[in-house]
Amino acid sequence: MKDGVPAAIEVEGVTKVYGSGVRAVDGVSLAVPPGQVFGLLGPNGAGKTTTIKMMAGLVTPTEGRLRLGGFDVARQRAAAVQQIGAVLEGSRNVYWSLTAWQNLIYFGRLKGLRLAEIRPRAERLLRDLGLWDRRNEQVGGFSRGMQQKVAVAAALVTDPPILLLDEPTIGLDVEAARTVREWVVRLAHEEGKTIVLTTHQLAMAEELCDRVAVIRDGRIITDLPTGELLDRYVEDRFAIQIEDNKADLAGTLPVEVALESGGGHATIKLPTADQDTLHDVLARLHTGAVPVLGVSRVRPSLDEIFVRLVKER
Amino acid sequence: MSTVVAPSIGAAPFGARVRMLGNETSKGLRVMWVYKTPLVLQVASLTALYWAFQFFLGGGRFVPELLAMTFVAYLAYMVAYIAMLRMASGVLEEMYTGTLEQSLLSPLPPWVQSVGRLAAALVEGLVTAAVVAVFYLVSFAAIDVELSLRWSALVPLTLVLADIAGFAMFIGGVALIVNSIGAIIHVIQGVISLLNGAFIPIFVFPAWLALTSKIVIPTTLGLDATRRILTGGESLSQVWSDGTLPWALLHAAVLLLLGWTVYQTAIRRGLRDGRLGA
Repeated sequence: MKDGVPAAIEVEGVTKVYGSGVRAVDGVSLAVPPGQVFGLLGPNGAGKTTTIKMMAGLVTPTEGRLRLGGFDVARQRAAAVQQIGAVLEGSRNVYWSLTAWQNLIYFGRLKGLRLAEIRPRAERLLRDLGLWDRRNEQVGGFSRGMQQKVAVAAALVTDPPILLLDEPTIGLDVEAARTVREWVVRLAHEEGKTIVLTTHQLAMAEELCDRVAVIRDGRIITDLPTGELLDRYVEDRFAIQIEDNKADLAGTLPVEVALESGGGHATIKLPTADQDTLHDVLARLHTGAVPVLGVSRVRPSLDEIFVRLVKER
Repeated sequence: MSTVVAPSIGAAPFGARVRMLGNETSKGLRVMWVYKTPLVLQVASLTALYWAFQFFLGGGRFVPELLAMTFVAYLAYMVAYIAMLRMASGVLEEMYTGTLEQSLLSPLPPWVQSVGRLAAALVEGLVTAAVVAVFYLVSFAAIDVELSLRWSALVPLTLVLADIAGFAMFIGGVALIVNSIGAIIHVIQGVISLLNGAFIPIFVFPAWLALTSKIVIPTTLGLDATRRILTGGESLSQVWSDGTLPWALLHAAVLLLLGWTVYQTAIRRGLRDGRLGA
């Protein structure tokens, strides 16, 4: 609980040891406030999916407690699962032998809603996702992207406050992945839903997540707001963006700087944050009449930070 | 953040549970409808096998008395065949495709879902058996098979259905634990068809085999009582007083309890081991 507002998701000292002795999750604790997009990142086998499934009540923890919307998943399962919709990794999530419409009706009723409550919401979801005209077709005949849209719609048909998305864009083409990303933004920022997202696409996590935790060997090794995480890894050196015209730079730059070019511009990366070096290089560029587009501190991508984190500890 | 409480479950538990049970059953039937073509082919081949058996057992002709004795057992076998197939292969398919986990994201306890799945399997089996029964009755009229349809036979037939339900749930539970159960199911189905009286009346078995069949094979005891009522002209009190019906009742109760326990244990174990998903 923070500032009197109960966390949407509370995980306290959760451990999962499978029968084979594998400790998939080891003492994980975290709290996700309402309306936050929380990214859970980690390499394969790190414990992401087990953590998400424990949140959903689909895997029983060996130790620890989980609460959804204040309801204990183990002791108040009925109320707890009402809080969530889930799109799980590596599975169809919906019945391919049913139509899109039949799936939404089934999953709505599964949570105890009446038909009259489900119909308008199912219609809105299918219209928004561009599936309304194909609502009476079997999902098995849809493209992978459309099937994933149906899975997202099925997770949302009861309007749950919490959404668990385990690799929601895996296997999707660019267009379908973009649709899912736009939906995540809309659900979190316009509808105030709490979203837990696992993905290997770190650019997507950087774009969507308010906060990121990195899990490795079942343990959370970093848990920070995305901006803070990126700031923390800002490197103490400069980058200068210039127009891409290498011919003008011949003999202009000191040998210790790195030059990367592409897309109509180039970036000169200085090895230090030393102001004298920066001024020296800028003076050389001025002398060479090289147009400078910008100067910035080097800010690594989440991708780079993730790799560093996973290797470091 | 809004919090969704489970109003419909708390306020009207019975109504909500019945509604959701109906949801599970109707989903099961819709999914099964997709597999109607293979089912028709399987039923046709089983029916051909039945007629072939009766022809050879009759020494090259159809014996009306033999047909009358095996007919109900054959229909019961067909219901058992479909129920077992749906409970085992259905649950495995849902496990591999991830829909089993999704369907467990329900405020209802897993047993309601399993009962809904079982109800769909039994409805499919009964409808199929009814269609086949009509075909048989028309055929029987042509070869002068006399059947005395008596309402009292519904009592042991209900116990036969309970036997099937318990055994199908047991098989479904085992399938959740032993995923490579497909071959085992085919063997079990073959043993049931040979020993429950569907193809060969059990009174021609040696005594030890008949007794073993009644104890071990689902449906046999109830079918024995049914056969005696329909073709032997015995009353309910007669099949009760010689212990057949009480034993059939006990058999059905034990199978239901066993099936229930194994299925629920398998679900709990699946949740513990994280084995219910893709």
